[in-house]
Amino acid sequence: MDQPWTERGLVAAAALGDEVAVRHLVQEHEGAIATTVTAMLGAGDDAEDVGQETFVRFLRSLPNYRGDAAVRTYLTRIAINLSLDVLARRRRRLGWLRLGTSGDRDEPTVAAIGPEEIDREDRRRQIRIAVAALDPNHRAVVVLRILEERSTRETAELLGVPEGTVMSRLKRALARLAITLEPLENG
Amino acid sequence: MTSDSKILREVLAETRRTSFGPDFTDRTILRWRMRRAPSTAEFILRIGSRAAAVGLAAAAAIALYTLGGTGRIAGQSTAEALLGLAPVTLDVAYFDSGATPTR
Repeated sequence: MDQPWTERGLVAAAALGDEVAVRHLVQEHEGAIATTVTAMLGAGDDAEDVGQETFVRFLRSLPNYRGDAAVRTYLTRIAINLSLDVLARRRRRLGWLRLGTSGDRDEPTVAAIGPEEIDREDRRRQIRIAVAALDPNHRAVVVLRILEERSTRETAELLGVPEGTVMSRLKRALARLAITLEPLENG
Repeated sequence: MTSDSKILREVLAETRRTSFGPDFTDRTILRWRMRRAPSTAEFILRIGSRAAAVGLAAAAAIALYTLGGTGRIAGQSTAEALLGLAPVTLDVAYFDSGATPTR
């Protein structure tokens, strides 16, 4: 039979190692964390790993949890930081692979399409490439602000940066996407 | 840009999932349990560091006792006393080897 758990009660019980409380916490927040992590990393092993690690780190940090932020905010913050680490690792790996092949960067892949008529599917493909080429910090802002429609303040809180940084990162990310997409726009 | 904004949102949503898949909770709990229980290496390290601390304290106590003079042999250097070695003199050295010391 399910007990009516409050968030405070769940956290207190989980901090004492109560497995039922831990299960409730994971089940309650899996959806939100999966949404953010898969938007950042795509579905797959990395996302699953980050998802599990997010909860484990949260549970291990419970003795220091003071409840100054909601559990979901706290979890999302951990998830985003772990996702950024994975994105940074991916970029480093990609950098090494490029060193072994050619010095080309991401942008030409998009620009090479040119201003000719491109249907919606092609646009989608090109935007996908442009988004994938975004700096991880810019991607995080784009995901939180545009996809999850979070406020600047909330995004700043989640990323642990000032609101001004969120605004400048979003502006730069959109400018970068717009620059990258310019040939498509002209078409 | 409006249609591109829409596509951008769609592209971002493409990879989005609302769950990590079946049994995610079980896998997470398993991982959490494994982290809670200290590994064998951690256990050995913890025991080893305690034993090392006790050993060092005992060695320091013996060294202080020896240096204190009660257990010290006449003619023994500080290093010899610390290590608990008998003083090595010419007589002892030649007596042990059976040779006669010459001057």
